[in-house]
Amino acid sequence: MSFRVDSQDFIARSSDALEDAPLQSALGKLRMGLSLRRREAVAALPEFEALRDEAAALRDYTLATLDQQLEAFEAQVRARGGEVHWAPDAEAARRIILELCQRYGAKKVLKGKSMVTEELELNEHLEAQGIRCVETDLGEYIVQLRRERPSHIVAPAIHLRKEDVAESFAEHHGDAGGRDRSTAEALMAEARAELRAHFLSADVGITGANFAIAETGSTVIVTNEGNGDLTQSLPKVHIAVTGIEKVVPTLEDASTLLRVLARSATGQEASVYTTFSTGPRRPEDPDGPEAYHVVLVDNGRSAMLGTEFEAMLRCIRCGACLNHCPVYGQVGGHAYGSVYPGPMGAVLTPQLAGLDQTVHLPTASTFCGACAAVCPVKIPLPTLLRQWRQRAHEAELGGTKARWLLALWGFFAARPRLYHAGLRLGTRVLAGLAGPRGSFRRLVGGQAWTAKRNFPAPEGGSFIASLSQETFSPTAEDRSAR
Amino acid sequence: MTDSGREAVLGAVRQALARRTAAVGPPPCPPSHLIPQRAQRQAPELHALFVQQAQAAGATVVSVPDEAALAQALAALAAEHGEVPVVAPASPLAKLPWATAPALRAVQSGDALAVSTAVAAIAETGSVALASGPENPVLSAFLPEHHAVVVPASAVLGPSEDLWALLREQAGPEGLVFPRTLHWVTGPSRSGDIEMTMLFGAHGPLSLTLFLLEDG
Repeated sequence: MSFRVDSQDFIARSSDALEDAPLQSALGKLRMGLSLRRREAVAALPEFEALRDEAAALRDYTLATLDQQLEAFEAQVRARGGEVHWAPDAEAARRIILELCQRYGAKKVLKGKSMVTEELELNEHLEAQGIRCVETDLGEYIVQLRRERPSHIVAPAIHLRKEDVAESFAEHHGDAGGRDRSTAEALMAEARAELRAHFLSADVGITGANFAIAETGSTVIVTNEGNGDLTQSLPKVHIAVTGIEKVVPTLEDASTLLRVLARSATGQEASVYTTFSTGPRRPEDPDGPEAYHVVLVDNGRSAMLGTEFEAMLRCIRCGACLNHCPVYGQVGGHAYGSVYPGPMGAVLTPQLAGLDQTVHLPTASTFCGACAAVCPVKIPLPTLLRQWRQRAHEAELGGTKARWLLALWGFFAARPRLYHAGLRLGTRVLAGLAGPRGSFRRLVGGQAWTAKRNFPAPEGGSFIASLSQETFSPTAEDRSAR
Repeated sequence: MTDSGREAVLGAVRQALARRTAAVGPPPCPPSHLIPQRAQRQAPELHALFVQQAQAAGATVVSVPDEAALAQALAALAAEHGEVPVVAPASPLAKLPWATAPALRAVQSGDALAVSTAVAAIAETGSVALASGPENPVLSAFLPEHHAVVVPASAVLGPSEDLWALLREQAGPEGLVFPRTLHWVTGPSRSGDIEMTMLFGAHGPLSLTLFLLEDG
């Protein structure tokens, strides 16, 4: 297993992100855009909640029978003239794909959008061997030109403004004829023209797969641009790279998952292109690839099966948890230092890269629960994040200050009388110190909070006090009901 | 190398599943497949739903009464761009009663309009289903500037599950032979990758026109 992360500086990079005005303006569009569209799409489908239950149950069933599903998928791919390759780790996957490219004498490779190949750092690896890789998804193309990593698993260039895109295009495409780069329309038309030339001259097309269907041996890609279809149809070789967990048993299962995927990802009822690819070009076919390969990547996934983190393998990479996470929405994807950011990334990355490298990621959550509430396959993300925090605590990986404060809290929490007395005293002292304003502009030990906003002082009784009052003093109706 | 990789991956999965069974018992039953009420309609409500959903996805839907009207409408659409429609030589559309001959050849990058035929339409999402083959080259749907798809009105289905049922019905004695490529196309190509602004015509066609052909 190998997985490059750069998550040690999460806290410093988060602070930088909060001060980064262009990034904040870009992230504002995400908050207002995708989550709003998702809400409208969900409201238009009364069965959406029931479908989430079905989707979660379906993913669980598939994971519980994963070996059978994978073998059935492999047999079907072979029966249709394709080849299946098994990669236990990233290194094996890179080697398999490089050897395939070399087998076909590839000099230029097209890439459809694929998070697994980001995980494998495939482009860097192939380019080091003299094979040019061209990302064809518009967002991926932009971040590739800028030598950045995607900042979102569905919208890779969400952190950029159109001015940033214009600057990159001017640098890489030249400025012949003083091109207009003032609008998103002009920029997209420019990318379309530039990429069309690549499409027509590449040797191999590499895509990911949203699903792999055991029943038919098909890989499925779900896209809006059409780049994935050009990528896999024009070159003479199509290589689909996917995680072993992406297999689904039947076509009907794919239908169920597709219903929740598009709505959760972009708020569409269906993505523009849903493509089922089954084997290479057939004798009578006028187009399509002459060779079809599927690379099944484990890279730490099987190690999650049968553990407390198994539910994470349900993930269908829709990005809804990123779009709804208040932390992701403030710091953006690059702060996480992993190709998988946001709540799903904060659970997955420690598994793939080791907790010692990524100890800050599970703390990047307020446990507000928005991620779990929108997850189309009902992954209990806050619970899984809490489990990582617990492991970090047990392994003494967290900061000493946090450990010391937790120990202090633990001391009081184990002594309820002392805890409540302290709470009452603290509440009164804070309320008294705050005075009529009811909040603090500065607080000793709380500068990180008060640097951005006032700290509200407690208003009277504690939550527990009000709760116990309710419990022990039933209302008139309650009494009469009894 | 590949075989050792296979054993390593499947071995790890089986070991983990044994651990799983020990912890939580045997695998659950596969879930039933819920089909949204919306998709469970009969014609003509199904047609209305298809038109509504396809339009919502940005497609133009045109009803044509017969093959002559279809040929005329396709020629008129291509003429808007100063060209004739590109039709695969093996396509049944080659035999339409064309007033002006279409270009009977493989589509090329930059062609104004290519025409495909759909095996079915999925009313639930306003999608058309294209099965690849000599009659229906894949690239017709992606290389031209504009794309037209002909859908027989009798081929409008409710949910995608009905398409799977249809393909299973057509299966031969050796079982289901799935098309090499099956596309569901829902509206024209688009991207929201620059500042979340949704724009048509990312890499694929700038527009999608669906011709619903009433069956004679």
